[in-house]
Amino acid sequence: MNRQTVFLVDDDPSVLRAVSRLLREAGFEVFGFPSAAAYLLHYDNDVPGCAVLDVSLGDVHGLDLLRATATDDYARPTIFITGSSDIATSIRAMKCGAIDFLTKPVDAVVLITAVREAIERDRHTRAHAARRAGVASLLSGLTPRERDVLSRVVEGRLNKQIAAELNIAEKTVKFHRGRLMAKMKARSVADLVRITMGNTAASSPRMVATGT
Amino acid sequence: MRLGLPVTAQASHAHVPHSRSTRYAWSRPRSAVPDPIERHGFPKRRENSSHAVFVRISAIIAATLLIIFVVPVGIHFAWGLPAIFQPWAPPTATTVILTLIVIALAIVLSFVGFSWRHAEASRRDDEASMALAATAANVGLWNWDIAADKVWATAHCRAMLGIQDDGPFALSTFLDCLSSEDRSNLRKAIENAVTTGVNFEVECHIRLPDEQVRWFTASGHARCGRRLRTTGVTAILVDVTQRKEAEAESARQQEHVTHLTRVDILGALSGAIAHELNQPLSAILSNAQAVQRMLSRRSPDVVELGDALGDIIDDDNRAVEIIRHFRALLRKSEANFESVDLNKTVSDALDFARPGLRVQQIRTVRRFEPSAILIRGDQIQLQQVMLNLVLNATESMTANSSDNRVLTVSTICRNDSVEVVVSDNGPGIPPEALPRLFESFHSTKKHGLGLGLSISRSIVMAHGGTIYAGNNSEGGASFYLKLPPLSADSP
Repeated sequence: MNRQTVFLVDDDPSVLRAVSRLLREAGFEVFGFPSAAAYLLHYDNDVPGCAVLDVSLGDVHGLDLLRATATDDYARPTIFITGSSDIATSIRAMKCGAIDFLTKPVDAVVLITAVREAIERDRHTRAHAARRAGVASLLSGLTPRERDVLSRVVEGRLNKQIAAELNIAEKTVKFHRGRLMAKMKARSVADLVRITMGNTAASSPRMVATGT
Repeated sequence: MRLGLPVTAQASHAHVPHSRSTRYAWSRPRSAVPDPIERHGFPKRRENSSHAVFVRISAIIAATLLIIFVVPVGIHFAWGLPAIFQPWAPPTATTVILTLIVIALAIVLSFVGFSWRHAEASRRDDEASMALAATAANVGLWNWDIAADKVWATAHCRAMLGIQDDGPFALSTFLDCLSSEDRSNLRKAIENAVTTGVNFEVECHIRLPDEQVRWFTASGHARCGRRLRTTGVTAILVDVTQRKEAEAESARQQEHVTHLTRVDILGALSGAIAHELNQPLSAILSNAQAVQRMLSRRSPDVVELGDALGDIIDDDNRAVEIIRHFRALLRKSEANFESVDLNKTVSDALDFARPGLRVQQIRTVRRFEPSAILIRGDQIQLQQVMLNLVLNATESMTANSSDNRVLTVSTICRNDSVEVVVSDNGPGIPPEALPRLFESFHSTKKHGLGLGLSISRSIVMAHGGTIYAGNNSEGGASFYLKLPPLSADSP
């Protein structure tokens, strides 16, 4: 993920130009949008990067724009800029998962730092999601019996206990265990626990950018 | 008998001090001999009036007839007739009857003459009492005789004009007392009255030696003589200085309140204006910091540098424009009526209110006439009316959900008027509030002085227009502003 993309939305053309110029100068790839509608039209969750949104975008509120684009498992890391900072809005923005809430005029250093942080967070989120997706595909390759064994191995049971619980021979448990270790690409039990634990965390209903 | 003898006007002309005339101290006459008629009345005319001459002649004829007929007849009866009268005056019944007729004629003529003289005297009395009443009412009476170009004015009238002379004077003397503009106005009005017989009324002012200004209304009508020929003008002069001063004071107060309500509107808009000002400042900062970064490179992109600096200049100008507009609205200045484009005035006001509209998430629809609408008006005051209406609409639409707030502003050009309509889709005006909407200190808002609409109305009225409001059939309220278009003959 070497492309560091910033999606900038501001309904004031001159501010849009100026901030775009500044961020480009700081080495980011900048896509500027003059309205919420234009941003939504080109929005794609699969494109990595971060968003810099003006809070008041004509008839659309920046927070609503963030809510509209966020899905169950991904929300683009967002920095809000506002002309008038009021505490209520900033609290709401942070609750919505905003990276930062900056007041115009924004100092270049502050903005660039915030954008770097947001992009770093996006990268982290995406890497994690990819890992999670990998584990999910590994799990799908297991047989039902292997899954039964896996869940008990992860809980720390001994082969003998598992055999008793599943009412099968200890030798058969060892066989399944060997197969699933290979399928899950785990070198040790500790490794197996780490991989599967990550997956159970990932299966929580919603994960936003800040939730990693 | 002083039958119809002309009474010479007294050279002395006196003032008994009284409350009205003391104001005209500059023209107080020199003498102190009071004559009740002379004091208040017209100076008496030196010319004989025609009927007075007739009375005199008839009296002379009567006396002559008496001498010719009555004396010889008496002598005849007493001492016998001298020989020279014998042939034509015998003491017959005919002679006696003739003599009696002559006597009767003489008596009748004398009586008529006396009554005419009496009428003349009572006319003078009427004139004097009228002059008295006029003086008491601070009204000056004056007459202009066209043929002789003489103006007879009451003492009070002369005092008002600051004319020291107590005799009649030429009309030009009168007109010279006035300022040049008033002079031509009054001259035109009098000429018009003489030629067409229409009554005239002209407001004029004079500047006294101590720079004091006094205002008058001169009004009157043409006087007709025999065969309906205009012989002169009868007119009055009323001092309206106090009224004028009260009017001016009232206008000053009105201006003050207008300015205060405008400041109030600006106060309501100031948060949004600060935000609006923040945008160019923000852009300037980002551009300037971008330029700094560019310059720190080994080979900066000169074109990009130029663009950034150009943007900085544009944004700076934008900020200056916002401040200039704000200060223009804040400034307290007298109304300045000039030819303005209504489209531009309304558009400027909407631009100015835009940040506020944006904060309230109001969608603005502009339905303007495609071509410029010229009217005669004060740009700032008209914008004040527009801002007031837009603010009211904004406030009323806060009841709507934020995605259903639409402000529609239209300008319409009609044959005899131009119109601005400001419509919202809020809850509308409560029907009970409609009749008193434009009254002072009547507000439907919680925190309102109730002056905004009343000031708006007085501004519109000063522009010769009307303003009214109503609820739309499809919901919301509309304010209609009707103004007279700039006609071709207007300056």
